[in-house]
Amino acid sequence: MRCQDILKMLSSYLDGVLEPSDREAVKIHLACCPACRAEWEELTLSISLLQELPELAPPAGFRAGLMDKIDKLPAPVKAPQNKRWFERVSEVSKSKWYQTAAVAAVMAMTLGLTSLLEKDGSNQFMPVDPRPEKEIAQVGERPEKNDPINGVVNPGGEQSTDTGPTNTESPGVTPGKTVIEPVQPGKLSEPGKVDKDRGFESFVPQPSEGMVASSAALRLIVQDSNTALKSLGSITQNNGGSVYSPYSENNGSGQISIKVPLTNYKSTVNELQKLGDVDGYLPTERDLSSQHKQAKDILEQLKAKKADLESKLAQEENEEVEAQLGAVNSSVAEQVNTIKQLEDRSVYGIIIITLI
Amino acid sequence: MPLEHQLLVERSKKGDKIAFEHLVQLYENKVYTIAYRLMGNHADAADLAQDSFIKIYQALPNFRGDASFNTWIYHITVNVCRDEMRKRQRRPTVSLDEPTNSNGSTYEIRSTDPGPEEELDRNETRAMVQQCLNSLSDDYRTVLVMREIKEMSYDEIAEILGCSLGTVKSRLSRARQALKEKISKQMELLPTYDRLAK
Repeated sequence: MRCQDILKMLSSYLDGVLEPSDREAVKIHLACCPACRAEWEELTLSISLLQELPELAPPAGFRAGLMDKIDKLPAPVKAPQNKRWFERVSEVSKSKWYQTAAVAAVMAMTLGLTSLLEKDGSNQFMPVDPRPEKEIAQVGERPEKNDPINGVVNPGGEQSTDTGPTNTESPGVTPGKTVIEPVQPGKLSEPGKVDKDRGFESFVPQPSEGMVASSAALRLIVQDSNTALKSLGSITQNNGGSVYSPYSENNGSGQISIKVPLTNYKSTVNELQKLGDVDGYLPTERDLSSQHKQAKDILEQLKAKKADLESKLAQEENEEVEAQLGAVNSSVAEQVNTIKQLEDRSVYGIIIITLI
Repeated sequence: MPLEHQLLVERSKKGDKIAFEHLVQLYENKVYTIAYRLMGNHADAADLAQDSFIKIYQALPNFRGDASFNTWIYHITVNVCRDEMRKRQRRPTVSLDEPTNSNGSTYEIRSTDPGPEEELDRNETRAMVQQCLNSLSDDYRTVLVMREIKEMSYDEIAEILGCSLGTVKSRLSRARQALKEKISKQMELLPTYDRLAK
């Protein structure tokens, strides 16, 4: 056997899945061919290095943040009830032509969405100017920590716990407000609002342009974390914010996330940095506009389908069409919720504060 | 699976969130490690590990115990990460954690006050291995993480990837070869690497 053939079999030899005859041939070859033996040794060394990589623990606040999201979810249900809207629609429709039409509609929507994504090329986690605000730069800054050019960006070990709505496939999974808020009468046409009495009929989405999810990671060196936390609570409250992820301590430092209206976002950051020496500051923005636009397009498709079914039903009573309409109605409600969550996320900023 | 874990699974299936939190506590390191090894940075790992647990929570009523709970969890986690990798192939993103220098290679992020995971990764060899892993294609990295880190069988990998045993075998062989070449090269360049890492 040639060296080339032997080298191709080394991986299977390592896993012990070679035929006995091949195994024996590799073994003998390795014993007498220094070049192949060197390859074998390098291979086993590389793999053992990989296998020795340690198990890692998630960052502080991981579980609390996760359970916060889980708390907002409905109790899990078995698959049939948990199917997506188009599966339910195709399930209730028994006639062949309707199934074909449903699949075609979904495909058309998917193609439309893909082209939107490619066109926009956005909807990604993108850094904004990493330089701190002027005010922040003046207080206890350690500029080298925020310099991505030199590769020493220090997100402070905090992962972006900003897990705002990023996936239209999982409506209701995201944090933040997940329910449609009641509105005052007379505001029916206000974007992003829903008239409770009329369900989601009156929902008018906001314009997608410029919709972003703002977050910031702020590391502060403080004298006393208890005092800092009290002040942090007052600042949050004064700025109309709330705790997004509760305080948790790990290895001598603690982390808390707060959510503040975007209008007070910068002033809140400025006030927070006065609580101690700023050890790191990393603002980020995620573009939500294309995601919002996609969600609105889906809503329009659903509304068109709903209108079609309603007109059919007006002409003739039909149980099957009624069932389809029910499924489409609940999908409309889901979609409105998704859009509302995106809109909600764009009016709040999340600040992750690490106290050292 | 230990009886205690089975009970937690059963209670979680019924929507018991306290039981589910216990399950998260038991498996969070495993899930987080897979996500980190596949994505190569802590920010993505945390987000995707959370997404994985949300999917696990939602899919729990459908877990029938045919596969081991470990394998089932790994299956979901790997798929969540693969979905994200696919999305990024279509829309390249900028990583805040692993900024790319002008040569296209990445620096190891050094924090002045590292968390426990950074402490572990401070070991330069480990950081170098992770960097080599990051530089492989998504397919190679995925198969290596499943086989070498999570010790999955060929059958389990084939099931998760939805491919034949032959494909698993050949992909694993090529992935190991690619990793070996990367690591060997880094070993030769160790002084340079060392400087970069610091």
